[in-house]
Amino acid sequence: MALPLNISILMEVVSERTKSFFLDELGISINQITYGKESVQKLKLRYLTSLLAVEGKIKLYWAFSFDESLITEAFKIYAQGIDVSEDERDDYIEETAGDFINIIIGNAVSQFGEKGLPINLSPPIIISEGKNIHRHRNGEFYTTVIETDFGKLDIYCIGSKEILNVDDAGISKLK
Amino acid sequence: MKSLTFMVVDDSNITIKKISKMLEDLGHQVVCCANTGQEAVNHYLTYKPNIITMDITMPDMDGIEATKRIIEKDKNAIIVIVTAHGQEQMVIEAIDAGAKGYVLKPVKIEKLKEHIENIYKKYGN
Repeated sequence: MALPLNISILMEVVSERTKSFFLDELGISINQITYGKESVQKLKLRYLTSLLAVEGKIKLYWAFSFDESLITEAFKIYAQGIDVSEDERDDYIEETAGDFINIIIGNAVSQFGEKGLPINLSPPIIISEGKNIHRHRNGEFYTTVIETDFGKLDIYCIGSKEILNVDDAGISKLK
Repeated sequence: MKSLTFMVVDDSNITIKKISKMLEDLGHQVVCCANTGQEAVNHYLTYKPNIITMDITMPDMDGIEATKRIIEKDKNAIIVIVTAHGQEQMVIEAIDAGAKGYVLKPVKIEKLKEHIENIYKKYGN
Protein backbone atom coordinates (compact mmCIF):
# COMPACT_ATOMS: atom_id res chain seq x y z
CA MET A 1 0.00 0.00 0.00
CA ALA A 2 2.51 2.53 -1.13
CA LEU A 3 2.60 5.23 -3.76
CA PRO A 4 1.46 5.58 -6.50
CA LEU A 5 -1.71 3.74 -5.43
CA ASN A 6 -4.58 5.95 -4.43
CA ILE A 7 -7.91 5.27 -2.83
CA SER A 8 -9.74 5.27 -6.17
CA ILE A 9 -7.49 2.50 -7.45
CA LEU A 10 -7.86 0.46 -4.25
CA MET A 11 -11.64 0.74 -4.49
CA GLU A 12 -11.55 -0.31 -8.12
CA VAL A 13 -9.32 -3.32 -7.37
CA VAL A 14 -11.64 -4.49 -4.58
CA SER A 15 -14.80 -3.84 -6.61
CA GLU A 16 -13.48 -5.82 -9.58
CA ARG A 17 -12.48 -8.69 -7.26
CA THR A 18 -15.97 -8.60 -5.79
CA LYS A 19 -17.53 -8.69 -9.24
CA SER A 20 -15.45 -11.74 -10.25
CA PHE A 21 -16.10 -13.53 -6.96
CA PHE A 22 -19.86 -13.02 -7.18
CA LEU A 23 -19.98 -14.18 -10.77
CA ASP A 24 -17.50 -17.09 -10.61
CA GLU A 25 -18.34 -18.47 -7.17
CA LEU A 26 -22.01 -17.61 -6.80
CA GLY A 27 -23.27 -17.06 -10.33
CA ILE A 28 -24.58 -13.64 -9.30
CA SER A 29 -24.07 -10.88 -11.87
CA ILE A 30 -23.30 -7.33 -10.86
CA ASN A 31 -25.65 -4.90 -12.59
CA GLN A 32 -23.92 -1.70 -11.56
CA ILE A 33 -20.95 -0.43 -9.58
CA THR A 34 -21.12 3.13 -8.29
CA TYR A 35 -17.90 4.60 -6.99
CA GLY A 36 -18.12 7.25 -4.31
CA LYS A 37 -15.28 9.60 -5.12
CA GLU A 38 -15.54 11.60 -1.94
CA SER A 39 -15.38 10.63 1.67
CA VAL A 40 -18.69 10.27 3.50
CA GLN A 41 -19.69 11.48 6.95
CA LYS A 42 -21.16 8.26 8.27
CA LEU A 43 -21.63 4.65 7.35
CA LYS A 44 -25.29 3.65 7.10
CA LEU A 45 -24.98 -0.07 7.54
CA ARG A 46 -27.28 -2.52 5.82
CA TYR A 47 -28.65 -5.77 7.31
CA LEU A 48 -25.30 -7.53 7.85
CA THR A 49 -21.80 -6.09 7.79
CA SER A 50 -18.43 -7.81 7.85
CA LEU A 51 -15.32 -5.82 8.67
CA LEU A 52 -11.60 -6.55 8.74
CA ALA A 53 -8.34 -4.69 9.19
CA VAL A 54 -5.51 -4.79 6.67
CA GLU A 55 -2.20 -3.89 8.23
CA GLY A 56 1.06 -3.40 6.39
CA LYS A 57 2.98 -0.17 6.27
CA ILE A 58 -0.35 1.48 7.00
CA LYS A 59 -3.61 0.26 8.50
CA LEU A 60 -6.92 0.34 6.66
CA TYR A 61 -10.28 -1.13 7.56
CA TRP A 62 -12.59 -2.61 4.96
CA ALA A 63 -16.30 -3.25 5.47
CA PHE A 64 -18.84 -5.10 3.32
CA SER A 65 -22.44 -4.24 4.17
CA PHE A 66 -25.09 -6.52 2.66
CA ASP A 67 -28.81 -6.25 2.07
CA GLU A 68 -30.61 -9.15 3.76
CA SER A 69 -31.94 -10.47 0.43
CA LEU A 70 -28.45 -10.50 -1.10
CA ILE A 71 -26.60 -12.24 1.74
CA THR A 72 -29.45 -14.76 2.09
CA GLU A 73 -29.30 -15.67 -1.59
CA ALA A 74 -25.49 -15.71 -1.57
CA PHE A 75 -25.48 -18.00 1.48
CA LYS A 76 -27.92 -20.40 -0.20
CA ILE A 77 -25.52 -20.80 -3.11
CA TYR A 78 -22.30 -20.77 -1.04
CA ALA A 79 -23.59 -23.47 1.32
CA GLN A 80 -24.91 -25.74 -1.43
CA GLY A 81 -24.07 -29.39 -0.76
CA ILE A 82 -23.34 -29.03 2.95
CA ASP A 83 -25.67 -29.82 5.82
CA VAL A 84 -26.77 -26.78 7.79
CA SER A 85 -29.37 -27.25 10.50
CA GLU A 86 -31.96 -24.55 11.18
CA ASP A 87 -30.20 -23.79 14.51
CA GLU A 88 -26.92 -23.11 12.74
CA ARG A 89 -28.34 -21.12 9.83
CA ASP A 90 -28.01 -17.57 11.23
CA ASP A 91 -24.46 -18.18 12.46
CA TYR A 92 -23.50 -19.61 9.08
CA ILE A 93 -24.96 -16.64 7.23
CA GLU A 94 -22.77 -14.40 9.38
CA GLU A 95 -19.75 -16.62 8.68
CA THR A 96 -20.54 -16.41 4.97
CA ALA A 97 -20.32 -12.61 5.13
CA GLY A 98 -17.00 -13.03 6.96
CA ASP A 99 -15.71 -15.51 4.39
CA PHE A 100 -16.61 -13.19 1.51
CA ILE A 101 -14.68 -10.19 2.84
CA ASN A 102 -11.78 -12.42 3.85
CA ILE A 103 -11.52 -14.00 0.41
CA ILE A 104 -12.05 -10.83 -1.62
CA ILE A 105 -9.75 -8.56 0.38
CA GLY A 106 -7.26 -11.40 0.98
CA ASN A 107 -6.99 -12.07 -2.74
CA ALA A 108 -6.75 -8.34 -3.46
CA VAL A 109 -3.81 -7.58 -1.16
CA SER A 110 -1.41 -8.89 -3.81
CA GLN A 111 -2.47 -5.81 -5.81
CA PHE A 112 -2.13 -3.37 -2.92
CA GLY A 113 1.42 -2.63 -3.93
CA GLU A 114 3.51 -3.49 -0.90
CA LYS A 115 6.29 -5.72 -2.14
CA GLY A 116 8.40 -7.62 0.37
CA LEU A 117 6.51 -6.42 3.44
CA PRO A 118 3.96 -8.84 4.91
CA ILE A 119 0.40 -7.53 5.01
CA ASN A 120 -1.60 -8.90 7.91
CA LEU A 121 -5.35 -9.40 7.80
CA SER A 122 -7.42 -9.52 10.95
CA PRO A 123 -10.11 -12.16 11.35
CA PRO A 124 -13.41 -10.62 10.17
CA ILE A 125 -15.88 -9.25 12.68
CA ILE A 126 -19.61 -9.17 12.01
CA ILE A 127 -22.05 -6.36 12.77
CA SER A 128 -25.66 -7.47 12.51
CA GLU A 129 -28.84 -5.44 12.29
CA GLY A 130 -27.67 -2.25 10.64
CA LYS A 131 -26.41 0.64 12.68
CA ASN A 132 -24.71 3.85 11.74
CA ILE A 133 -21.03 4.51 12.32
CA HIS A 134 -20.15 8.17 12.47
CA ARG A 135 -16.85 9.50 11.24
CA HIS A 136 -14.25 10.15 13.87
CA ARG A 137 -12.50 13.52 13.66
CA ASN A 138 -9.52 11.95 11.88
CA GLY A 139 -11.48 9.24 10.08
CA GLU A 140 -12.18 9.00 6.36
CA PHE A 141 -14.78 6.69 4.77
CA TYR A 142 -14.94 5.88 1.06
CA THR A 143 -17.83 3.97 -0.48
CA THR A 144 -18.62 1.82 -3.49
CA VAL A 145 -22.13 0.48 -4.05
CA ILE A 146 -22.54 -2.86 -5.84
CA GLU A 147 -25.99 -3.62 -7.22
CA THR A 148 -27.32 -7.08 -8.06
CA ASP A 149 -30.74 -8.55 -8.82
CA PHE A 150 -30.85 -9.71 -5.19
CA GLY A 151 -30.00 -6.42 -3.50
CA LYS A 152 -27.08 -4.14 -2.75
CA LEU A 153 -23.66 -4.45 -1.16
CA ASP A 154 -21.79 -1.38 0.10
CA ILE A 155 -18.01 -1.61 0.22
CA TYR A 156 -16.31 0.80 2.59
CA CYS A 157 -12.66 1.65 2.92
CA ILE A 158 -11.93 3.29 6.24
CA GLY A 159 -8.69 5.04 7.11
CA SER A 160 -7.43 8.06 8.92
CA LYS A 161 -6.73 11.48 7.46
CA GLU A 162 -3.06 10.79 8.14
CA ILE A 163 -3.26 7.95 5.63
CA LEU A 164 -5.88 9.11 3.15
CA ASN A 165 -5.88 12.62 1.75
CA VAL A 166 -7.38 14.49 -1.15
CA ASP A 167 -5.21 16.14 -3.76
CA ASP A 168 -6.03 19.30 -5.76
CA ALA A 169 -7.88 17.30 -8.40
CA GLY A 170 -10.17 15.87 -5.74
CA ILE A 171 -8.60 12.42 -5.87
CA SER A 172 -7.99 10.82 -2.53
CA LYS A 173 -4.50 9.45 -2.29
CA LEU A 174 -2.63 7.34 0.13
CA LYS A 175 0.17 9.43 1.56
CA MET B 1 -4.67 -42.49 -4.55
CA LYS B 2 -5.25 -44.11 -1.16
CA SER B 3 -7.61 -42.62 1.38
CA LEU B 4 -5.84 -40.17 3.71
CA THR B 5 -6.74 -38.69 7.09
CA PHE B 6 -7.02 -34.93 7.51
CA MET B 7 -7.27 -32.23 10.13
CA VAL B 8 -9.04 -29.10 8.79
CA VAL B 9 -8.10 -25.85 10.55
CA ASP B 10 -10.11 -22.68 9.90
CA ASP B 11 -11.87 -20.10 12.05
CA SER B 12 -14.95 -20.30 9.81
CA ASN B 13 -17.13 -23.33 10.45
CA ILE B 14 -18.80 -23.04 7.07
CA THR B 15 -15.36 -23.18 5.43
CA ILE B 16 -14.48 -26.24 7.53
CA LYS B 17 -17.68 -27.91 6.31
CA LYS B 18 -17.00 -26.98 2.68
CA ILE B 19 -13.39 -28.24 2.73
CA SER B 20 -14.39 -31.39 4.66
CA LYS B 21 -17.10 -32.14 2.10
CA MET B 22 -14.60 -31.80 -0.75
CA LEU B 23 -12.09 -34.06 1.00
CA GLU B 24 -14.76 -36.67 1.71
CA ASP B 25 -15.95 -36.48 -1.90
CA LEU B 26 -12.32 -37.21 -2.88
CA GLY B 27 -12.44 -40.35 -0.71
CA HIS B 28 -10.51 -39.01 2.28
CA GLN B 29 -11.45 -38.88 5.95
CA VAL B 30 -11.54 -35.77 8.15
CA VAL B 31 -10.60 -36.98 11.62
CA CYS B 32 -10.44 -33.64 13.39
CA CYS B 33 -11.21 -29.93 12.94
CA ALA B 34 -9.91 -26.86 14.75
CA ASN B 35 -10.98 -23.20 14.80
CA THR B 36 -7.70 -21.70 16.02
CA GLY B 37 -4.00 -22.35 15.64
CA GLN B 38 -3.74 -23.28 19.31
CA GLU B 39 -6.48 -25.90 18.97
CA ALA B 40 -4.67 -27.34 15.96
CA VAL B 41 -1.41 -27.63 17.91
CA ASN B 42 -3.26 -29.24 20.82
CA HIS B 43 -5.05 -31.78 18.60
CA TYR B 44 -2.22 -32.74 16.26
CA LEU B 45 -0.47 -35.41 18.32
CA THR B 46 -3.76 -36.96 19.38
CA TYR B 47 -5.03 -37.52 15.85
CA LYS B 48 -1.79 -37.57 13.81
CA PRO B 49 -3.57 -36.94 10.48
CA ASN B 50 -1.74 -37.60 7.21
CA ILE B 51 -2.31 -33.99 6.14
CA ILE B 52 -3.39 -30.75 7.81
CA THR B 53 -5.15 -27.98 5.89
CA MET B 54 -4.31 -24.75 7.71
CA ASP B 55 -5.86 -21.29 7.39
CA ILE B 56 -3.58 -18.32 8.15
CA THR B 57 -5.82 -15.63 9.60
CA MET B 58 -7.31 -16.92 12.84
CA PRO B 59 -7.85 -15.55 16.32
CA ASP B 60 -5.73 -16.79 19.22
CA MET B 61 -2.83 -18.14 17.13
CA ASP B 62 -2.44 -17.70 13.37
CA GLY B 63 -1.69 -20.49 10.92
CA ILE B 64 1.95 -19.55 10.39
CA GLU B 65 2.72 -19.81 14.11
CA ALA B 66 0.66 -23.01 14.42
CA THR B 67 2.61 -24.51 11.50
CA LYS B 68 5.91 -23.72 13.24
CA ARG B 69 4.71 -25.28 16.52
CA ILE B 70 3.44 -28.46 14.85
CA ILE B 71 6.66 -28.85 12.85
CA GLU B 72 8.60 -28.49 16.12
CA LYS B 73 6.64 -31.47 17.46
CA ASP B 74 6.84 -33.51 14.24
CA LYS B 75 9.16 -32.42 11.46
CA ASN B 76 7.41 -34.79 9.06
CA ALA B 77 3.97 -33.23 9.51
CA ILE B 78 2.42 -32.36 6.16
CA ILE B 79 0.72 -28.98 6.36
CA VAL B 80 -0.98 -27.34 3.42
CA ILE B 81 -1.88 -23.69 3.90
CA VAL B 82 -5.40 -22.97 2.63
CA THR B 83 -5.95 -19.24 2.80
CA ALA B 84 -7.43 -16.23 1.07
CA HIS B 85 -4.20 -14.33 1.59
CA GLY B 86 -2.74 -13.85 -1.87
CA GLN B 87 0.42 -11.94 -1.05
CA GLU B 88 3.64 -13.56 -2.25
CA GLN B 89 5.41 -12.60 0.97
CA MET B 90 2.89 -14.64 2.95
CA VAL B 91 3.56 -17.73 0.81
CA ILE B 92 7.28 -17.36 1.58
CA GLU B 93 6.56 -17.05 5.33
CA ALA B 94 4.36 -20.15 5.24
CA ILE B 95 6.97 -22.24 3.43
CA ASP B 96 9.68 -20.95 5.80
CA ALA B 97 7.49 -22.04 8.71
CA GLY B 98 7.44 -25.59 7.31
CA ALA B 99 4.28 -25.73 5.20
CA LYS B 100 4.53 -28.07 2.22
CA GLY B 101 1.97 -26.34 0.03
CA TYR B 102 -0.26 -23.32 -0.41
CA VAL B 103 -3.81 -23.29 -1.80
CA LEU B 104 -5.54 -19.99 -2.41
CA LYS B 105 -9.21 -19.60 -1.47
CA PRO B 106 -11.81 -19.83 -2.87
CA VAL B 107 -11.04 -23.55 -2.89
CA LYS B 108 -12.11 -25.68 -5.84
CA ILE B 109 -12.21 -29.46 -5.53
CA GLU B 110 -10.00 -29.99 -8.62
CA LYS B 111 -7.35 -27.61 -7.25
CA LEU B 112 -7.45 -29.26 -3.83
CA LYS B 113 -7.16 -32.75 -5.35
CA GLU B 114 -4.16 -31.77 -7.46
CA HIS B 115 -2.31 -30.16 -4.53
CA ILE B 116 -2.99 -33.07 -2.19
CA GLU B 117 -1.83 -35.66 -4.71
CA ASN B 118 1.35 -33.77 -5.56
CA ILE B 119 2.23 -33.03 -1.96
CA TYR B 120 1.51 -36.51 -0.67
CA LYS B 121 3.48 -38.06 -3.52
CA LYS B 122 6.44 -35.86 -2.58
CA TYR B 123 6.28 -35.91 1.23
CA GLY B 124 4.05 -38.84 2.23
CA ASN B 125 5.47 -42.01 3.83
